[in-house]
Amino acid sequence: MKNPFFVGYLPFPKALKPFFQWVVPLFLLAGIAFVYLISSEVPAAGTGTWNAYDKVSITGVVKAKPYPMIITSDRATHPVLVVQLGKLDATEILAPLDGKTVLIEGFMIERGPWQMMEIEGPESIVEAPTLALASPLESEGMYVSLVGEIVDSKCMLGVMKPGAGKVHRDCAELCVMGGMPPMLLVKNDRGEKAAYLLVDQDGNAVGRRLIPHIALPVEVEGLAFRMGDMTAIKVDPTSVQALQGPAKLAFGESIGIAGSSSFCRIPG
Amino acid sequence: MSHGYVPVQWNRNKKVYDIILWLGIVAAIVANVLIAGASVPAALAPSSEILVLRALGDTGFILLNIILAIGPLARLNKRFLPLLYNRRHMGVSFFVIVLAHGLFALMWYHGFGVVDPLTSLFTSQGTLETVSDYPFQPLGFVALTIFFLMAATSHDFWNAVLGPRFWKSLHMLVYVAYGLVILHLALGALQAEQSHIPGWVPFASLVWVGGLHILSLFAEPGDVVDVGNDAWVEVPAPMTIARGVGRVIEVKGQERVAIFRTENDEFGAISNVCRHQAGPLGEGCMIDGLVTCPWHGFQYQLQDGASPPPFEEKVATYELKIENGTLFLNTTALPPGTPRPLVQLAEQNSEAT
Repeated sequence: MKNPFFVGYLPFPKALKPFFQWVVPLFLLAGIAFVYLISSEVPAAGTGTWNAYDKVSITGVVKAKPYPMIITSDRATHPVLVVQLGKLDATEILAPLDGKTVLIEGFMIERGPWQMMEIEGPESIVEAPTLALASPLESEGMYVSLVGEIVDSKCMLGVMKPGAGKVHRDCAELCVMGGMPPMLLVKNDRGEKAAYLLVDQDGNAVGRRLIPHIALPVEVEGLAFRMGDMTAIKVDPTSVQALQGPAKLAFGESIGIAGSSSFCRIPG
Repeated sequence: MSHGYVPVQWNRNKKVYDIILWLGIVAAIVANVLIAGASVPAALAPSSEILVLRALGDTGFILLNIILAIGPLARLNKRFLPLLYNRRHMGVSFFVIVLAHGLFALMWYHGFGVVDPLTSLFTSQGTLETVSDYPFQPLGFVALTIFFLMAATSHDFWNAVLGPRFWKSLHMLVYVAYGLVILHLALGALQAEQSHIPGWVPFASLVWVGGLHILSLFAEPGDVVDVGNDAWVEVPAPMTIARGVGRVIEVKGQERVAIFRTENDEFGAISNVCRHQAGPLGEGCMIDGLVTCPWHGFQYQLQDGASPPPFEEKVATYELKIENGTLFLNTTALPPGTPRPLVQLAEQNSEAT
């Protein structure tokens, strides 16, 4: 016989042991080498944080539109967005409290200048003594045309890292379907990223109407305006254009920002 | 065999196999998470859930590439046969890993929303118009479903209930699932703006799996002989078959035949197809006077193609005759388990070495 014959239920042939003494380690080493090749250069997933185990409380004034947010004394110009656990917004909970002062507790999600609080439900909010805090001043609009990716704010700000791209698309759709504020994530040719809150042409929540364009390279045109330190864009959902051809291929390499300064820049 | 079924017929070889297998699986997952986590500053690292999700997917992909390679490797070099013997355990282990990957992805990307996860999986946006928009997760789901069917039937009980041919066909769907996995990868992670998987990975996999399968086509059992389709055909150079070993005879349009030579220079012919998992009996050898399948050690009596009691498997037998010192095979298969006399060639005709 050319080779020793192996039968599983009989003792392992001694003559085969030298072969497996190098074959098994070789397979294991090849597997680990492959793991190293595909794991040693994982793309950075942004600086967002999600403090899911550290519940905090803040006091501030509810601003229900365009998306629920809390204006606090130290965040008077850049309010804290408020959402619920999972992929649900907090509109139904906070809309009745518009303009009122509340004590609200939840988990903070932060990336750059953006802050978001994730609350567990209506029980996370109680009314508090009135604070005299005005809504952030809104500037006049500036027409912009931006190339970027529409994302859901909750994941992009730190709940999911990475919270953008095709792999994340279905999650972003569900989030926006659940009322999560959509954002336009743009990146200039120096790799700097900026995020813009998206609202409809009347300044209201635009969410679901943008779902067909989520997580795809798109060009968005609209009036950019500031709400305090936040930047939002009034966008007509029907005018959002999917990038085609070379522009689409270039997406992710060098996303141009035309007609806009990179305010609301976010690190990483 | 047919002596009653137990969940796993453990033996020392299977235990050693499984220990090494799972050490490798755990090492691959841990290494993946640690290396990926350390490759970027902690503040910029992907979520731990995402690291685990991708580690499970990557490890599953490695396992699939090993599983699909074992068959052709064993064909190219019989010393790999011990890897094939317990491949079933590697397959089920692979399914556990990719099931965890699938459930993680389903929960993380499709859970906690206003639509139930499975509905979300199949109704999410995406078009078939461009490659970059093609939804990739349903492809992974279908592949996972195939892997489930395979894992769930990876037991001799199901092999017996479904019949070896249907069971084999079911398990050949692994190639469909493999194609779906390649597409799942190419249309998913590789389409992400910043993919952690280099673009060459699917191509390298196709070259590895496809290349080995093509090479194995040229490594058919060394003694295949095409004897045409006459009723009685000459078996060329029978005395070159070593004692206690078989030779595979190709019969056009029929199952292959395995001709064995005993230690006493007797010859007998039975079907080449093992009743267990269609292993090539002719590539096996005789142990304790029984034809033994090289894949899982199922045994048959050369005299009648039946497994020794209490086992009940039977394969077809074939008649042999000797005329003028030449061995002839009747290519008409006799019903499984049919006894017929072995024939003996004169020692002086021996050419065996």
